[in-house]
Amino acid sequence: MGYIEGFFQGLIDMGAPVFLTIILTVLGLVFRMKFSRAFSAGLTLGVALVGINIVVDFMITNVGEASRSFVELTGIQLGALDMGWPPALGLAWTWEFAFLMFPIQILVNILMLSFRWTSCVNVDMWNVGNKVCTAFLVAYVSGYAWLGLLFATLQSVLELKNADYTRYRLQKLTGIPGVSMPHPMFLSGIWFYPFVKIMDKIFPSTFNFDAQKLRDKIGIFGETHVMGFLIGCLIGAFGGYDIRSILTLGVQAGAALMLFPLVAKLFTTALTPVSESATSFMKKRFSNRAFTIGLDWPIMAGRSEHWLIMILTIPIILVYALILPGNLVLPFGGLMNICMVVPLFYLTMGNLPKMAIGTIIGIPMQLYVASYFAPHFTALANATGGVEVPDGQMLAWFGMDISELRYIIAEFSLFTPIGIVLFIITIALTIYYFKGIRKEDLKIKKELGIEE
Amino acid sequence: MKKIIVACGGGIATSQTVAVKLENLLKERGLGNKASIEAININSIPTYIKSSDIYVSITQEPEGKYEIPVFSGIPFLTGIGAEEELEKIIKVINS
Repeated sequence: MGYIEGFFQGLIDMGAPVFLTIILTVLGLVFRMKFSRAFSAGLTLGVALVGINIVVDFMITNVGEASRSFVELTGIQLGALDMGWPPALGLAWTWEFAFLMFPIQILVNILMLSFRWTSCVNVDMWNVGNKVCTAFLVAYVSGYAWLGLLFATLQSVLELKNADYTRYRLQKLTGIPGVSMPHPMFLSGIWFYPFVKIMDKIFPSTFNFDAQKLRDKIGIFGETHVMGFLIGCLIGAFGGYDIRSILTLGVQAGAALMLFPLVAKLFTTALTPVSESATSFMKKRFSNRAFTIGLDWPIMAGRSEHWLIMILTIPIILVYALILPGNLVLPFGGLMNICMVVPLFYLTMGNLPKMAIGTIIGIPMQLYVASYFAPHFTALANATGGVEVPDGQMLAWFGMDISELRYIIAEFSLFTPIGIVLFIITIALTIYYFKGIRKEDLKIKKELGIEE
Repeated sequence: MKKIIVACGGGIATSQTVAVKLENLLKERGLGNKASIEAININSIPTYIKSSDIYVSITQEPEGKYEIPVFSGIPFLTGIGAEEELEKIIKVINS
């Protein structure tokens, strides 16, 4: 046993880029890929990690420095710079037990298909990183890696159930049959659903307007580099920079946000071959029955409602960040608030006023959760050695998927009174939500005229 | 050389998955150097559409919304109907 542990520790000690290259290569071989392809995929993952580190480093150097000068000048303590989801999930992969989430997700899926507890074959391997994130956060807060992995496993189970219970809703919204969405952010329905029910009582659902035209007009603000430029200029201005430095920072901030996707997509390139093998393995085993293919959320991204609300609420996020007492996070990379807006879109079937109200109510919670977890993201970045975070600076992720649930299970893992109370409420809400959403889904099924 | 764009929420996960799969399929048929594929952010479509020849969409797009031919990327994600969609794309690449 000691020998094996020593061997693994030795691997981990080589650093995440080397370690993950080896792990993914081995994983590829397990799935019977040719060595050359497996190695290429493994190395791409290592390269992706190095790339993420470079861009995060770049962001800390430029935007971070301006934000520190902003803190000094204004006295508003926003020491945690939000990096957004591409680097945050990239960083999560550097956690030493991250790779275990692959076999866990696949195994959970196979077991649940075997027992007919789900009909979803989840082929979305990108969001394995989202389970890794839950696991690492709980592990860092509680000090127990196994506890993190346990909650991440539970998350996988709930994701599949949620995919099952909302498949006709998805079909109605996208027009695509035979797919479902086991994305973690839709588990936010657990806490959002009661609020949506209350809003349903207050506002008639006919109260809505056309998003397309307005979005076409302001769509440019949703372009990554444009948004980065504007925020960069804003931070520079508040940081007391002169005009030349303000504009330079704007372009640099635009570059940071534009480069994140370019390196983050390498994760996808690396994971796709393994995903293909895992998918064909699962499909072969369960080919004798009807299942849905579990995909990532962007199959709904064609709808304008998401982007309209996300763009319009950016100023609100910034104002909240400035005025909320105790908030530490300077929102930057996560300003496009996908994980709040998209679940609300899903629950309200794209009702703009309800999405807007829900988002405005939800942002403070997201900021506080981001502040809560900032020391842990910073610790992970420091531990894996890729990113040097200067003293007085933290890294954060604003707009994280299931912010509220991750906070609750992290507190619960410490057995704090608030954690225990919120956890018990969450269990009750989960039952209420699943029952309600399933009933709605069967109604939609009837509406669509689907019979089985 | 035809330029193909695939778009999703961030140009990172779903669109890149389709891009990688499509690229592999084209390579298998010896068409690897006849097309370049790029995954982009859906908000950047107006910027990219003018310089592209084919748009592979992972959402339902209304017909005639874009000046270039639009194909569905969903079959490449689900594996169902991928051959048919690929054939259609190849026709445009070879045209």
